[in-house]
Amino acid sequence: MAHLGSWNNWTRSDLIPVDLEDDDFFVPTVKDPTDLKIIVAGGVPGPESAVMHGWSGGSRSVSLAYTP
Amino acid sequence: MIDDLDALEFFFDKEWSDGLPVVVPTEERIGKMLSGSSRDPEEITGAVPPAFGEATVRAVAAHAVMAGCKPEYLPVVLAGVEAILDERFGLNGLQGSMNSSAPLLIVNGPHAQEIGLFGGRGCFGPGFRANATIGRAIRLMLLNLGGGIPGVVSMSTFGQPSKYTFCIAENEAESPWEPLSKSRGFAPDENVVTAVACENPQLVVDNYARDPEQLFFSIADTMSHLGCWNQWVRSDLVLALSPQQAAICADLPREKVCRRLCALAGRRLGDLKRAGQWREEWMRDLPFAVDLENDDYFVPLIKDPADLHVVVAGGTPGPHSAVMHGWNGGSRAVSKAYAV
Repeated sequence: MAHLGSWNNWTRSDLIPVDLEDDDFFVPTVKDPTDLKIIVAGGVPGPESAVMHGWSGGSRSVSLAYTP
Repeated sequence: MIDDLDALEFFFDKEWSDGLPVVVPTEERIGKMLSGSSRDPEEITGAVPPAFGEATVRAVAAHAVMAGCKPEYLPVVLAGVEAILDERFGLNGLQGSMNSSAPLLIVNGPHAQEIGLFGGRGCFGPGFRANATIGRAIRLMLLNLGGGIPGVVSMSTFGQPSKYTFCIAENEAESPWEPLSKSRGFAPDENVVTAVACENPQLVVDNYARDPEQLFFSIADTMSHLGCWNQWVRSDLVLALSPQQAAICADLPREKVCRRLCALAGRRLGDLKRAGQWREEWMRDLPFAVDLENDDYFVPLIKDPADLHVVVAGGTPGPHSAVMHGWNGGSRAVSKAYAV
């Protein structure tokens, strides 16, 4: 998940306290654990998972119940 | 008398669809589609594995109708089929794979422009008929002629959106380099389809890179995750640079861009050993020696620079590139020239 080409690059490090003087400071990809949505999908056997990075800070996930 | 709606349901019942409605391939519609090519309708372009249904020109035309193609798209669909049926492409394995990779078609040459095959803003879709329907015709043939039905032949864990359609033109007009096809040995004015088995586009956002090294750092990082096949075996990888990002490296020849990315993309041997996918024998099979005792040894992601296919696609402005990792070692990119 942690590739630097996702929107989670250093310019967004204002979201959490970061020691900007320490190049070894670990900047987590997911800024809040509630932002990580883990689901189970796909078939068996299937030795794979799928990561779908989020869009920029302009969107939040939304869940709605519905009645068939 | 069967109306079009009943016929649509018939195609769903027979599992002759990708899950979306198809255009019913009547004799009249197939005849009109065949007018897009001078080839003999009974000519066999090949047999689609693993069911080995014959892809005659007529059968290809029927699937082009079902996908919604115009007759002028048919030469591209035919060339696409011939590319993926080339033995080097390894379609039989791809059809049954647990991986999600799909054949990406990249089209170069004047014909692509003439028919509206798009390489600019939003080219991976939605919204462009030639891109959408040519790629879809290929998928319908993989299902109907090849039998690549999910859960029956295709063991793909997830599938992926680009299994519906996966076809673009290169944005030659905004590229600082020669067309991909020329770098693969074709004349610049030839019409060429290149097929690569690869995963969905994975975006690389870099709003602020102003020099190639900054940009390459971000791209190489995205290329180098441990969950892709490229990390473990020799495989292709497609990198689509937006015109904006290509302009940043326009002073470098494409070959140098490839070589620099090949030098930057990769992982420490120690990282590879930590992953569940680690297999020492795969390291021994690589086309170069790996020091298996040195955990700091750098294992390049791209095992041969010829496997990295850099194209220009997308719109301006656009501070993105798209990485498409390759399927496992069982497939090689194939390019085919075609006549209109």
